[in-house]
Amino acid sequence: MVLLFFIKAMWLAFFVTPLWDITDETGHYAYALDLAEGRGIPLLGEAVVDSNLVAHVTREPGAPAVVNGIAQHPPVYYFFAAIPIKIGQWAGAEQELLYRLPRIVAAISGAGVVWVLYQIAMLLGLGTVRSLAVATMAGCIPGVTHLASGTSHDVTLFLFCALAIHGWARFILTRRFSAAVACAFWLALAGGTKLTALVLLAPLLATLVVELEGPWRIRVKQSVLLGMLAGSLPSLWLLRNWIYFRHPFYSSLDQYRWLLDVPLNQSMQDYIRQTPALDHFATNFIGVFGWLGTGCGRFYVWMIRDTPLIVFSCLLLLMGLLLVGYMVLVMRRSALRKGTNEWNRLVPLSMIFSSLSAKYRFIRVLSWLFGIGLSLWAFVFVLQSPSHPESVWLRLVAIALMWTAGALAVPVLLRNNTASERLVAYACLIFTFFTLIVLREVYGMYLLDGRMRATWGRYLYPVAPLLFVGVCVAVRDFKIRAGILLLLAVLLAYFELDTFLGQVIPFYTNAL
Amino acid sequence: MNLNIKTAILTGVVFALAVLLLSLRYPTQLRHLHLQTAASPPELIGIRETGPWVTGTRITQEFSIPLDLSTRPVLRDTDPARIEMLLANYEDRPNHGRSKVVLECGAQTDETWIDYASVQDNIPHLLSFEKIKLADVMAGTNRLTIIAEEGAPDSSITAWLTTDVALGKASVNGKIQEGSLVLSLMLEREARSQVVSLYVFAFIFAGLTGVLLHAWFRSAELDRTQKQGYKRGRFR
Repeated sequence: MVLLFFIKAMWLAFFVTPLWDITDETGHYAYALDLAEGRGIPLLGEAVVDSNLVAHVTREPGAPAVVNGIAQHPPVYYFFAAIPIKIGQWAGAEQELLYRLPRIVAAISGAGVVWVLYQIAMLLGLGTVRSLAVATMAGCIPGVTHLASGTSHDVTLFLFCALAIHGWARFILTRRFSAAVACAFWLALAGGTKLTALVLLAPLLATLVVELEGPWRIRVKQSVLLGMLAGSLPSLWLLRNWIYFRHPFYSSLDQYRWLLDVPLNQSMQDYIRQTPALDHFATNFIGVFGWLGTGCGRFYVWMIRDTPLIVFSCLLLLMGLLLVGYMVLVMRRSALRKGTNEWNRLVPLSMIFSSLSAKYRFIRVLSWLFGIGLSLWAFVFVLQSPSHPESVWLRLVAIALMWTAGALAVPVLLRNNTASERLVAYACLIFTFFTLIVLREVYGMYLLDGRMRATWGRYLYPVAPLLFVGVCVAVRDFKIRAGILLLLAVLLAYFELDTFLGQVIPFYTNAL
Repeated sequence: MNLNIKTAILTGVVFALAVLLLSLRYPTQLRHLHLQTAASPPELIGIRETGPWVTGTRITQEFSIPLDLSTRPVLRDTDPARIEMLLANYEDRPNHGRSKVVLECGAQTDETWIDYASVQDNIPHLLSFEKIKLADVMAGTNRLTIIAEEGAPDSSITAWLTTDVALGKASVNGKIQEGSLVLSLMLEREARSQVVSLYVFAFIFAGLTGVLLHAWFRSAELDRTQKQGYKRGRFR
């Protein structure tokens, strides 16, 4: 299965996806080239995409070099991407091949993602057949396959985050400290690949600290160790930014000239009501293709549509339903459970809540009302989005359901839980936290720019494995049969094939 | 039957079915590779048109093709080149008349005719110039001239103009327009690369199905063996 994904990604990388048709591919390549040619880590503001590369994109000889905003990213991915370029240069490869060579890194990362997701499913007790089926489904999302065929750090980030989440889940289930260390290690690499990972790093680390066992002195030591390990690479990058720019989170946006002189005065609700931002996040997660290659320097993209979009939207909806269903099941189970479990004794807040809710019925009712109130808010908020195209409701309801699961996780975490129940509750809560932060960021850009920007589904890759964890546990506890999952996996595999043959390849060839 | 053989046969069947299904679903895309060099993507087409092609109307458009053949190894100089032009027939009005279209590509010149009755509304109309090859079109600036030989205002057709004038502005009866004709160079040839992609994707799809089926069969077989074992008292 992993090998088949790798073959698929390599075929796309070398024979189908045109050069520069992966988001920001020019910038990613230029960064890796700087490292391969020994120019060191490029500095934002000084780094450029050289004129030869720009000329290759625009097909206009003598095109001037442009500023490389991708230099805002930490270098971990680019060290890997520089290796094939260096080998290619050493072997005297032609320029066209050199441009494509770093795509191998994303293809390997994509195959790695499928492998790690399979391992997560096995860890959660799905067994071989069901684990194969769910990992295959994840590997059939056209957007993931597409990005795995290009020079981009997103799939490598996906891999590091999936590995971190594997370690995190293993620690919560088995209590082995080595798993927590593995989680922190991969989080460090994720943070050293893209700073977005910090939004995942903080809550994951917090849950690790909460879940630590033993005397408090040891727990403090372990917490410090995990924090130092996970924060090592991102801290170095933040320090570098501070040295050069006097601002640890300095990015290309700080150099960007916003379109509006006076920022818009609109609420988040107005933003959701007036722009299809939420739908774009979901649709782009499923598949968005093209960048500057097909348009010869002009931004030209194709968003997945028609039957494949509906099929993959149904998958998102199914995931949302499973997560909410599982959270309701857990709430019901924990209401029936008597006494406090070990975990509740470890966390004072939870201990107080559990003993109070055992004594007073109204506290139990309040916790339910809290979860249900937040869930209703999620639906009201999300369903204000524009209702075009017709299938948009599938994706909007899916988002609302995922946020609902996050809202329900709060009262669930304050009750008696087993390790896997807590795992899902944490996963849903962190997913909701992450997506709301991302949404707040793009809303901020909208106010400054007056137009919808940066609604890329790939921004959700760091937390996608968390959704996967939740869905796997739900599949296990709802005892969904292997045959059904196999059928679903084959259906999705077919519609991925259909997307590439019916939409993506014709887009590349017709719109030359 | 041996499990591996059973899986291999099923994988083969899935592969054949996938190829068949997709060939039926996408016959045009798989038969021909339509490489277009549109003056502008359809999304950017403005709302202007040239006006009805009545007798004596003369429209000219100069254009060159910004296509680097070295980056498109699937193309050959001897490939036949055809031009597509976005025309309109005024909401499926029955029209009659005809125009001569002359294409000058360097030293090569060829002409063809547009029969107004055959033009569909807002659909690119294919113009074939038998003598023109890809190398001729790529050689430099080309000139397309439309001369309406026959056509009345209430029964003629028109052409759309795009606001993207990167290829140059069109001229209608000697008057320069703020737009250019929506032209595409159609390089129609066997879509070998697309057919190969079909086989590769169908192979991967069949392979995945095979892996999943194999795991399922094996798990079912293990279950069966275990149950038989219990019956015989082996696992007690």
